[in-house]
Amino acid sequence: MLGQRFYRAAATLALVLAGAILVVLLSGDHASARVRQFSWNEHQIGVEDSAFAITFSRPMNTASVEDNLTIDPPLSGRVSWAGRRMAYTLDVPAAYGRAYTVRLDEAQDLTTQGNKLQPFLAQFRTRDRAFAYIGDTGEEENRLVLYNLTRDRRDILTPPDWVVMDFKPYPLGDRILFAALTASEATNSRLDQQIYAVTTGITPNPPQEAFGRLGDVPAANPGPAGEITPILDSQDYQNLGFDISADGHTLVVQRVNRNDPADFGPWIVRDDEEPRPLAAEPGGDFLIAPDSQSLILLQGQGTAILPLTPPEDDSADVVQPLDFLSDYGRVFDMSRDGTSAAMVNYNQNNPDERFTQSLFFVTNQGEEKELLRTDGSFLDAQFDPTNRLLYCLVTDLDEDSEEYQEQPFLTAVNVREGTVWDLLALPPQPNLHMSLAPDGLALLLDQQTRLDMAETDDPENAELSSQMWLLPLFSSREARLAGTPSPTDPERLPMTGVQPIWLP
Amino acid sequence: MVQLNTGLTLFFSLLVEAMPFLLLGVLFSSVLLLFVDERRLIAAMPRNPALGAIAGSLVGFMFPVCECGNVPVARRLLSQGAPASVAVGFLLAAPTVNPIVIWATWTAFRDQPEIVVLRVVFSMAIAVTIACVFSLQSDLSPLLNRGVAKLLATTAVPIPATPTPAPSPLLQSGTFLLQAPGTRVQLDTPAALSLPDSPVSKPLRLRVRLMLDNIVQEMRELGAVLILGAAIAATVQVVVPREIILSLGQGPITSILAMMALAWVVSICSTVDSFFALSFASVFTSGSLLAFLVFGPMVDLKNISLLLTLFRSRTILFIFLLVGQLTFLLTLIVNLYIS
Repeated sequence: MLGQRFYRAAATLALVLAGAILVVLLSGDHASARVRQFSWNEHQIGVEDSAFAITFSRPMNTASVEDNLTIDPPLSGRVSWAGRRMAYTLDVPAAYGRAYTVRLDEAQDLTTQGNKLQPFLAQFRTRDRAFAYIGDTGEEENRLVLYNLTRDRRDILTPPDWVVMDFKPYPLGDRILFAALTASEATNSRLDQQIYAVTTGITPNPPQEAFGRLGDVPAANPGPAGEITPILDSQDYQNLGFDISADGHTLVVQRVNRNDPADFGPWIVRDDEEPRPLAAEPGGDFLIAPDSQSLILLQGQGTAILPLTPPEDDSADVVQPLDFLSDYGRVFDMSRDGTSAAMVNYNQNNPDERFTQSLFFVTNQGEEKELLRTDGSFLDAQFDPTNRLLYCLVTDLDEDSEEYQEQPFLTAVNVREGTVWDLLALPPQPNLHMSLAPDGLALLLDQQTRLDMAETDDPENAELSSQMWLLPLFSSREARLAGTPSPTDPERLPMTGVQPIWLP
Repeated sequence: MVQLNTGLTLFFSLLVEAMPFLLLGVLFSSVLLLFVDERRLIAAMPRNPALGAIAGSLVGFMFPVCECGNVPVARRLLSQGAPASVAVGFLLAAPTVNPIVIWATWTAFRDQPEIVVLRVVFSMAIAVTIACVFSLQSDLSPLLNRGVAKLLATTAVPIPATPTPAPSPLLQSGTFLLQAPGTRVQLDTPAALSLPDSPVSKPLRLRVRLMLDNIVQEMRELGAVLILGAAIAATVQVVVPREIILSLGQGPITSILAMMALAWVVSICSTVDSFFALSFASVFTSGSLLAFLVFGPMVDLKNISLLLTLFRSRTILFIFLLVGQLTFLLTLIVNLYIS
């Protein structure tokens, strides 16, 4: 049988291999399980990062991993497994401006003898707590200012002679979109404002793999703070309002032709594309939906949802709305997952309620729930990042007052249960802005007059300048997890300005 | 009912993932098969056994064929005078060491890049070792199937420029369709594999025609195998209790043996087997996945009938034994020492 050289050689090799296999088998198991990959390792995460994944080199004893995994400071969450990969989904977004340590010292793999895991230690950070505002006094006057609370650092982003009218941060906080008049234009009307983007000096370092993120990771180094890029001029068209999509790639700007006021409507500005008008019926306030694909535009008495990219075969001159909500005349905010919105119904169809407004919670499942009703008006509403709470700036008609006066106050509503918390009463004032921190832990408010319950040393001065206030929303971790706001006293910020907006 | 649902979902997801790669593999191999002149290739091959084995195992880059297509090509290589080490190196490594399979493996195991690298390295190592053993034999004919041996005896060392005379159709087994004098089409093997000599010399129109025929034929054969394989994979995961699969998959030794057995039974094509393996990736050890990916393309059930057209059964037995032992040894080292 082994007459040929091949057979003899093959048989010899087979014997040698059998011996080698025996030696390896007898030598025992020398490998130990280890963490192959941790998706947030050394990255900077934000509210859009709701879960991290740890991939092990071997199938693990899941209970031993879950029992021994620690995060410091603690972040509560739920564990789920897909084979060797464990996902940890946070219950509430991690607080901003902190470093977190993930540690797994002891865990066993699933082999019969339960080999020990190589100890694992990793770190990640959340983005800095930072906000931008339009300065009000001194060298900050009319300029866009970035204040980083985590590092206690203030940067003025725009040139001294420019007048910043409005702004919105890009999704990862590396840039801010703003509308401004340059010095020569400042004497003209607001309608001459041009649109620019300015770098904030923040280098985002987001995890590569985000569970909820839309769009690409931005350029590695966006450059130092204060680099300005023009986005839209105001030569033929005046620029009114604008919004940035959640993926940061699409801008929508409301524009009107200088020579033909009927030529009025939203324009789409995309990276590396010529700005173009969206051929839609003219409308008012607008908002880009969280999917970055559609525009919520106030049209006539209702709200239209329009596609930002009209279908190719659409031969109609005007983009057809995907949906039209005839009852709602205003949209304040949409939940991060895009499934629900906070909308205002002006109650025009109900003769008894003609002079009231209602704030509705509207879902894409057709649910419409009235959350609040007022005889004053709704100024703003913003969803908490967990989508459980809605913070609202509302005014009530002050009936005791002799003249018509609206009394503003801040309130929070649980959108599911309807529970309402009145958080803060504010003095009557014409302009009021609020901004909810991306982690949902604090609110920023601006105020042109003195706060009732705040103590200021110099009331006269307070009247003249615009103060900004920070309102912490939860007094304890338990309250945060339970979603029951328990605000502490507002803190007055050391600078003056208007329109403070948190960086995402 | 729930199990049926899960099973169907698994089955379709496997199919959807794998089908594009199968289609691409078939397209690519058909195109290259008809446009690469293998006689020139053979002439360029080194005669040194070890170098020849390495060269042979790398030829897969020019003939991206899965294990269903490699036997006929290896047979043609041998019959045209390629050294044994080249032909055997090709036979064993080509189904794995080729761009389509590497890409498919990469697509499936992107988060475990070492699987991709080790799959190629182990396949090459095994192919080269066995090819070297073959090269010890100066006269190959006692190892070969009698038909091929006879063919080999009548074929001179290749002359690159002139086509070798076609062997008489009477000497070959199978069902033939005789057309014009001198032309025939074998009905029981894929069209391109039955060509008497390299089709590169034929006019373009005919080559394209042959290529299309080959695509349809391979797609039908391999598609059927894929569907069957996907069905088996889905059934195994639904019907066999999860505890049994888990306990099999987690032992460093049992998992390798289980996956090698599975590779042998399932006979799934190497262009798509990585997706099949991926469905076990979460519970099975890395070594066992590698064993599946290395062993499967070299040795599987449906391959035996094809191999019998090339080698004697005893030779095949030795090849299987050595491939099995080498795979087991290498992947055992992975399991016990690396991961």
